[in-house]
Amino acid sequence: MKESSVCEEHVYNAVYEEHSQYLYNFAYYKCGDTAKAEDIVQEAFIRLWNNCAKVIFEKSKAYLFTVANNLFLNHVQHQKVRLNYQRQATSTSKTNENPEFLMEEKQFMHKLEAAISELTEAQREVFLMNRIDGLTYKTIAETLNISQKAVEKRMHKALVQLREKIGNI
Amino acid sequence: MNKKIHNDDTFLARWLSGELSPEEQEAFEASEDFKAFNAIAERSQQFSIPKFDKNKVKSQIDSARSSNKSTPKVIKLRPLYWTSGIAASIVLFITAYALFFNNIEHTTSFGEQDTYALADGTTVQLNSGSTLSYKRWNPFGNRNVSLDGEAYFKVTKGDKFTVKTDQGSVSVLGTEFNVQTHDQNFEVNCYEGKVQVTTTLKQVILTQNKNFRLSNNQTEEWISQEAQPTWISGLSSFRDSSLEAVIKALERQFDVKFTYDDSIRPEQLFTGSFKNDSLDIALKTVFVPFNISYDVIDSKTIKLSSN
Repeated sequence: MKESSVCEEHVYNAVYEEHSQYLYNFAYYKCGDTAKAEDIVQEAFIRLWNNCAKVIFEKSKAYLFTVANNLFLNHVQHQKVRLNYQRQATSTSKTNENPEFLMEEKQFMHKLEAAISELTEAQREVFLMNRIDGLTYKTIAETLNISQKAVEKRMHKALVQLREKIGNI
Repeated sequence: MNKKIHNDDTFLARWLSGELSPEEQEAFEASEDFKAFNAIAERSQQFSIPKFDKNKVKSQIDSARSSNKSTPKVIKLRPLYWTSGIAASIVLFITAYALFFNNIEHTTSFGEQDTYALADGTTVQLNSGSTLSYKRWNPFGNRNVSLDGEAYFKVTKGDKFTVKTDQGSVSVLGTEFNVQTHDQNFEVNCYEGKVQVTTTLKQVILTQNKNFRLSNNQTEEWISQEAQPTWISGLSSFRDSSLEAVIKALERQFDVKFTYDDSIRPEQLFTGSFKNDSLDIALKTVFVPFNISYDVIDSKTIKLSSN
């Protein structure tokens, strides 16, 4: 059985290809700062390289996220998490695309963005990893090294929170 | 708001992942809150975040990695080069010394004679019980030899040729001569050309047929007519030599030992020669004129006594 070592250049590069985007997203969901998120990714991958002999390939993803998470412990303050709104032309909304609707939708997205920014870090990262990255609860649980039940609880709370902030529509 | 339904702390999460039972799903969709939750769930998927510049960050990581890793490598290798350089030099030096700077030594045992040719064409004929040594390689020409015993040199013309002995040295430009050094005796016989002899007592220049001897701190010079040393043709010759020196010569030629008591006077002088091929004849030749009787006790020991 052949074991992949993270110390090997091609393995290390493959790990970067696979996880760097998710790691960056995760960092951004936490702090809302692109420069900070890039720093976190850089620092996490350098630490992975320096400890490549001690971190087995299968654990490299958990290692990266743990390092990133620990780096945030010293980074208490976070900016408002800015989210870009990419309007998707869905088949259901097509018939409703009058100016009034578009205005309403813009307002709604603005409210939603603000509400997401006010979520706790733990709720926001889980919510956006699921909504934007499209990760399953199981994957999120593995990545953050918590139980799937904990992920689901956070998700539920996040939705309740957002619902309260936005109010009736 | 139907509190009953989503009071369960994972209810909304399960709804979002489609894990609700059909009954739960139906009840939830009928509730007032459903529209709002559905909007939140759907619209939140339309968000994106600022683009991640994957390649820029990777190149920053790579440069940080290479600056971390290359420095210790260099430190590690430098002392290795240094020590291996020394080791290589030592090996090279020893090898060169073994190949070029050691001495060649030729030794003849009792009753043996041997002839050697040096690099410059000079021939050296070694008499019995003698040792000739010289450097294997000399950048200035190999014309310095050391001698202990007796040898006949035919020196090729060229630079100064020097024979060193414990008693003195002989320097020539190209000639034939015999050097004999046994114990305190040092004798040089010149057969051709010109020979310079240097001893602590005296420095002399010998021309053809001239001879020099240093014995018991006394020097002596004389003329002879031989064309080459008699030992070359198997004859040991003596001229006013002490009986002791003759006995030593017999011992060297025939590998025997002599014992004698006070009745024998070793300082008596002997002029004459003995043949090197027969011990019996040599003993007669030497000891009969002295009126000395000899008894061969065993093959190695001979006892002398005065009649």
